[in-house]
Amino acid sequence: MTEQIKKKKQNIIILCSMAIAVVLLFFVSLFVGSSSMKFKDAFYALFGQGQNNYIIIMQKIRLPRVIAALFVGAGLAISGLIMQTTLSNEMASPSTLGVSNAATFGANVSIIGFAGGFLTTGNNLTNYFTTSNVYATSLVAFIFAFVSILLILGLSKLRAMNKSTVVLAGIAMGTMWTALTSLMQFYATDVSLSAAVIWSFGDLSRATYKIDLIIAIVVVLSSVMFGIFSNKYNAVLSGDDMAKSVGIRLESFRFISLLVASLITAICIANLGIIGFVGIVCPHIAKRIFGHDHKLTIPGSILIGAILLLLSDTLARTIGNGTAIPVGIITSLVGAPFFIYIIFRKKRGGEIA
Amino acid sequence: MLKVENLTFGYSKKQTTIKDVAISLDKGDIGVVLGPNGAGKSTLFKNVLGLLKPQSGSISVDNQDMINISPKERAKNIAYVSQNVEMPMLSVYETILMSRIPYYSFGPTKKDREIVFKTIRDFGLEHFMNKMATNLSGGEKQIVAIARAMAQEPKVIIFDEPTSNLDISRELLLQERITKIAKEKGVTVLMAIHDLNLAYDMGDKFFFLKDGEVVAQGGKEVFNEENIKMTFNRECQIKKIDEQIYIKFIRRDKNEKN
Repeated sequence: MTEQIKKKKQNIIILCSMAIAVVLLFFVSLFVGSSSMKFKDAFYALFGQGQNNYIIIMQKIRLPRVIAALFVGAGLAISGLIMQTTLSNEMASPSTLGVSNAATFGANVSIIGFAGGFLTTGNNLTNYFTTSNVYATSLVAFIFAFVSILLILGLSKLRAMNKSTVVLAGIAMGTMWTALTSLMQFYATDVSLSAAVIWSFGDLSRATYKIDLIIAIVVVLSSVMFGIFSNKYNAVLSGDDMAKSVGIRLESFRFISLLVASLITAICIANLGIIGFVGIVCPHIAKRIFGHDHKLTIPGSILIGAILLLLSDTLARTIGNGTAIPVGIITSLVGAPFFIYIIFRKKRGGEIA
Repeated sequence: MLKVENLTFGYSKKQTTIKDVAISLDKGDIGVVLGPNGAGKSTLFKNVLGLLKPQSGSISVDNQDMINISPKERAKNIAYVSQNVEMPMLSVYETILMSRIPYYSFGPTKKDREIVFKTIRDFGLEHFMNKMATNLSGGEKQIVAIARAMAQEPKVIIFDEPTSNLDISRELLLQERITKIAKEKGVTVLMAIHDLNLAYDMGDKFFFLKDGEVVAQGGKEVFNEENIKMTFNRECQIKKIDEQIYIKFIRRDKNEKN
């Protein structure tokens, strides 16, 4: 009993320290950047005091960006965790299910096919202004990501939601989207091609308060839902038959979980581009620290995701020497070696992360 | 108590894996299903557990239908100890806590936790309740799996080959535990087991399953050479000494030489 209380205390302390780290990083990230603004000026500008350009930088650029880092990091991490648990596959992530590839294709359709707006053929400059819409690309990307998920889950439902079927269908579907993307890019003009490629760089600078609000609502609501079901996710760890034998409707539970997890990723990716590896790395770190109990890994993944993306974004804005590197590049550069580390650690025997 | 009637199931429409199976057990009975690999034992159990939906037939516990019932209600009646016990990377306590899912809607209540603690004490698991379930030995995992089934407070527990990975002393211990569950706690047990001597020793009722059909059933009296030969396609000799039986199977190659 005492051992249990001690362990519980220790876990709460770790979670609290992570939460404090998130808050600290949030402010560090807010006051660090490529513009050489003094801390005092930045602080006043945040509340609308001082030089006009400082106010614009703080309120219109940095604050929405840092808020986006917070929620997107948390959202991608939690959706990765839920995908890994419900598919009993450590390597499950938005990219394994083809969500990212479908979103990329959707963005390409919008940018190359419709020049960023709806129903524009080619790059007709005369009517570009009236038809281009900042949200159009995001919307088309989201629609494709979501349709792709529905297709995979629908197909898998025919085979009683077999978990390996879902992953295989996801990989196949992802490859198909990539091929279609390449096909579009092959026929694209130079201008639209570069626009499409730049879109696929995960970049938080696209964040606005409107986007932040949408992402925050989705991430918070689904995290609450996942939290409520944490005991059920724990039961899923004992295998399909055991989970069913304690009364879980596993097929529908898996379907809803994957749908919500994919929705989070689709919304993040559609608005901000591909931010890779957060969905794989963060849940693994959480599982290393806490074990597999979802009452701990759910908040743990959320906090680690926020920490990772805030850190990566701060790094992206400081090492670029005046220009901010897209954060997707940083997360993948950090994530990929970590991923390799996980694979090799597993091979060496002993416990899986 | 547990009543299975005319149960038929096939993985495809053309073929039936189990056909017209009937099983009837009273409270506290230990029913043993015997049969070679592929006879349909696991399929039968999965049907009774609601993991598979039977094509026809009925399953009831205390006259309550178990087929058209919500999974949670079914789980309050029937629990499962699977063949290869797969343990999650959770503490033993958290692992056993999953058995309370049928009883709560949002999170485990105080009563649920108390029942889990009581079960942990009953099974003498206090000293490793905070240990990761994945780090336990095979025998310990088996005990945790049984404790988990008991904390589910079912009327029926299904054991699928519980002794297959255990050494002799663990096997005896398990035998004692299962008998205690049935005779002292009044839980009906339906199990599959390969060791015929062990089966005879533990079982109250026997069901010989061959190619998906029950070819013989009854009390200890059905345990004869004829039925065993019919089910397993092998000659054997049975010796009875003081209520206990000894079964010796005859190897075909040795038989030919004689």
